[in-house]
Amino acid sequence: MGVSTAISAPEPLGFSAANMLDGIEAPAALLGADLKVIVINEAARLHASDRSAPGLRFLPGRSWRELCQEAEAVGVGVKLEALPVGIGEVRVSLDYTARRRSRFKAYRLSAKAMAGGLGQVLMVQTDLTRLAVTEQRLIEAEQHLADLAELSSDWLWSTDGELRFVELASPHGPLWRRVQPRLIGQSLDDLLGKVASEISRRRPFRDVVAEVKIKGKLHRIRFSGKPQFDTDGDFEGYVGLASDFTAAHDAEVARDAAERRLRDIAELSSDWFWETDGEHRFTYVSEAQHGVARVGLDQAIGRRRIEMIDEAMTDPAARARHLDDLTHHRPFRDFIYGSSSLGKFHYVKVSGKPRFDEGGRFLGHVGTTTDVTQVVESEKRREAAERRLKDAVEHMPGGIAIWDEQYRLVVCNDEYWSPPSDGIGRTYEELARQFRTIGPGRIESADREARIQERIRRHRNPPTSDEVVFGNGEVHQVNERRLGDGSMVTVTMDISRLKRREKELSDQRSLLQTTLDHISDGIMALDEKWQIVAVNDTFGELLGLPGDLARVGASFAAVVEWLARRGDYGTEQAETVAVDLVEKMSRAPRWYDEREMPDGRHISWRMGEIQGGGRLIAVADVSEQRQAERRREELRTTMAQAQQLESLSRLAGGLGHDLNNMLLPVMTLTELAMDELPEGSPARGDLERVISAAEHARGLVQQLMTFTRSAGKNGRFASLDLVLAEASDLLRATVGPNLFVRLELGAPGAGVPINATEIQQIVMNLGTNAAQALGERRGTLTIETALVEPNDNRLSGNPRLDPARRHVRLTVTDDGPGIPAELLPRIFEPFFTTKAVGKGTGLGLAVVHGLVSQCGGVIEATGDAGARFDILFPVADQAVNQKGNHNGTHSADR
Amino acid sequence: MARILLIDDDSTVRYALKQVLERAGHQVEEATDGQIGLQMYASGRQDVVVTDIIMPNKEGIETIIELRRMAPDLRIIAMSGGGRTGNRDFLAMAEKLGAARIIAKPFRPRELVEAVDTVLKAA
Repeated sequence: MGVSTAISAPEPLGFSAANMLDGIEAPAALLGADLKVIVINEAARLHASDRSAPGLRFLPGRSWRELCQEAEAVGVGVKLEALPVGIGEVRVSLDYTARRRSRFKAYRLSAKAMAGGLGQVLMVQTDLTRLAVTEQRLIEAEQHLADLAELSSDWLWSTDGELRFVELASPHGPLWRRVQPRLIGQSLDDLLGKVASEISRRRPFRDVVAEVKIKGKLHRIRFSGKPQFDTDGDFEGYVGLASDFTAAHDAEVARDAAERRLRDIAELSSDWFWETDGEHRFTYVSEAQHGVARVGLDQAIGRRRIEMIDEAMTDPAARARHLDDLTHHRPFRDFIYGSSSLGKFHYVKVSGKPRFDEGGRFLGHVGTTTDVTQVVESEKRREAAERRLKDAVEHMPGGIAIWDEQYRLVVCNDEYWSPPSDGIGRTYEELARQFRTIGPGRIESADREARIQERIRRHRNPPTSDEVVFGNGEVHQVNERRLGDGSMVTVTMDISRLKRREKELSDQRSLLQTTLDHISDGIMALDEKWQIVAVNDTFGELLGLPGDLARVGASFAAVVEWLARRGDYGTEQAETVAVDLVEKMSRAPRWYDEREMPDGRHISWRMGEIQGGGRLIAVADVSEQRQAERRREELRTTMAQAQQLESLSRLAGGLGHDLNNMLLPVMTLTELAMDELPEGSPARGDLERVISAAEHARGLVQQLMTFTRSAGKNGRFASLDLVLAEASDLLRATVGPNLFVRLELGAPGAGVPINATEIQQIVMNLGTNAAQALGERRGTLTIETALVEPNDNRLSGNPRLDPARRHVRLTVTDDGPGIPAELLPRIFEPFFTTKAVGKGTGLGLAVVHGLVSQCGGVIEATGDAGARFDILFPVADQAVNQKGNHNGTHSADR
Repeated sequence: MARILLIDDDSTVRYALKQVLERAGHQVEEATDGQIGLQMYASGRQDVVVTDIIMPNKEGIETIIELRRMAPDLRIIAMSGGGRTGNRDFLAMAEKLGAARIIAKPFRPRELVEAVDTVLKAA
């Protein structure tokens, strides 16, 4: 290992290395395995021969270590210790800066082992001065801009009536001293030709830029002015402010240029080198520098780059230009193409220049390539994302706007601001002044300003959710949110239809409620979950519910449970009853129930399905209906009974008539015959029995006839108590000693519209009935009377009674065996008897019924503990007072 | 002794009552209905008329009214087996219209004899 090894390096290698070195613009050298310079390129030779040029000189024989030590000596901030002494396969680079003759220089010394394992090292010195200087300038330019911003450079100026500058005054600067002689005496309208028409009309102007050449340099000066008038209104000239912003402008331009250069250099710095022959085939490809791994890059050797271009992923025009450059052996720069030839797909940027031999023959290109995949792809992704965002925004159904953190509109669709291009870039505040809702002319100005400010305040403090009413009546929902990066998004939606629906719905609901409130039934609507969705007050009132139980949103089960607790459904567990009932109701599409409330009212429940889901329940007080039905039923029974009695009485009447006619000759002729017989004749006794039997028959017919007549008696009346007192002796005689007759008379003087005989007949029949029921046993018959005042409860049960009249009650009770309940309805029917044949006629109670009915009274029997007959007679003293009327009524009845 | 016109459609009744009245010493003429009764009274001018009420052809109430028209002072005894037929209380009505006495059938022989005696005495 030594110099000789390097010098005696094989010729093809040297040739190849020299070729490669020549393709590099920067000074470059090839080092042998001993890290000493073997060959240098043209740039290194030129650099080494220029004594004034800064940087390291690559001379054959100099070692890497020497060069590094020199870099340390001249450089600033170089740490040689960090460098490896031997390089081997390791790629190193050293950045250093140096000042020479007060010139600032920056270099990068890069070294890397060559492929091929011969221990050779390629060393390149890249001049980074431009990059560093540009960086420095950028910093300076920004500082300068900041300085300028700080130093307000406004000058005052004024003109005379002829618009000639007469005065200029400035707080600062040497520049102004140069401007002043240039302007004094010059005409304002000459200088500011752009606003000549404003000036001629003596109107104010603002920020008009004039370019003024001062000492060969063009200055940009911004003028603003206001006309001045004297007290007579004559124009005196303009006064105003001016500012030179040339320096700021220049700095901005310089900064832009520096930025661009910086980017260019930065991009160039991740290269690899390549070389092609006259047929554009790769003859050499370096490995990538700066950490960009190019796996299989050397497989490119022998191939043409043009074949490696993925046409689909490359701009065709650029490709055509590039082909043209190659064909005409021209240099080219920054051609970007896509390629997947070297494994993974990449975008690369390539620059190159042609090489010719001494005879001008084209040898091929040398150049650099930069992998720009990430840049291109991220650019494409950014474009795609932007396009998608724009598409999405454009296709949003409502309005959408995105604002940056300065409240400037970044993107929006037509729905939000039309056209979007008119709004983009403007601030929310600017746009708010034009909003259709609070914009010009809509509202009185003071109020408008307040509203604009309020809107801006809300916009800056999201999230917001507002409903905004437009002039044409449209209602929009405006929602605003802050996004993660501090920007804002506004989404608007036309909800006019929704609002109209909402209003219609609420109108309908109040119509429904009004309707419900005016219905006499209790109404309750339930949803599918048996929750109350509508209910009127009557519902709770009819059922006697506590106020808050039947309300919208409450559960129906709670209502039923409350009723169950009250005992409406018997004594079972309230919860169980409620659950069972709701269960039963939910199974049936229709349901009807009627129940008596604790206070005696009858409440009906009707339930039906609501189309579209839910149930409707109606409760109604049907007490009157039920009572009327009951009365009708009673009346019907009574009438049927009366008709039955009527037809029977006709039959009995006719029968009685004929019997009487037949009995007459029996009785008379028997008596006459008996008179013919001698005293003591045994036939006399027989004939007496005939007469006795006939008498008995006559009694029977008499009873039958009384019953027949019973409906026809009227107009007479008797004092009930008096008649009863008189009749009691006869009754006692009739019923015999076994039945004790007790009188309890409590209605002295009360008259009844019935005659004394009939009263007698009633008590005699009832008494006989009791005596026969008791048979041989002893018992008590109680006859009592009492007055019943008008509107007494006892008068309300029977339609035949007039509750407004006074009545007197006659009650006859015995302590006999009573009357079985099943017989009660029939006991007043004629010929109905439970007695043995021959014991009773079956007419006794029918006669009583007939007599009582005929005078407008009613009779009721109960039989559970002895027989009890309650008779209610209308009191006749009132009938006496209104005699004509009373009789008339009866006449009409007949 | 009086002349009595007996009007009844039932021959057995007529026979029985004729026996009763003749035994009491009265002279009895018979008519089978009100129409015949009126003709017989018009020609016979008996002292007392004993008439049934419910009869074919001309019933008793009408007969009484016409008899009363013919002879305002005539003594009439009305008798009936049915106090009431339909809606009318004939005996009560007969009394109103001028029957001096009313007797419900059936009756004992002496009731009729007494009734006749009473009306004759009243005259």
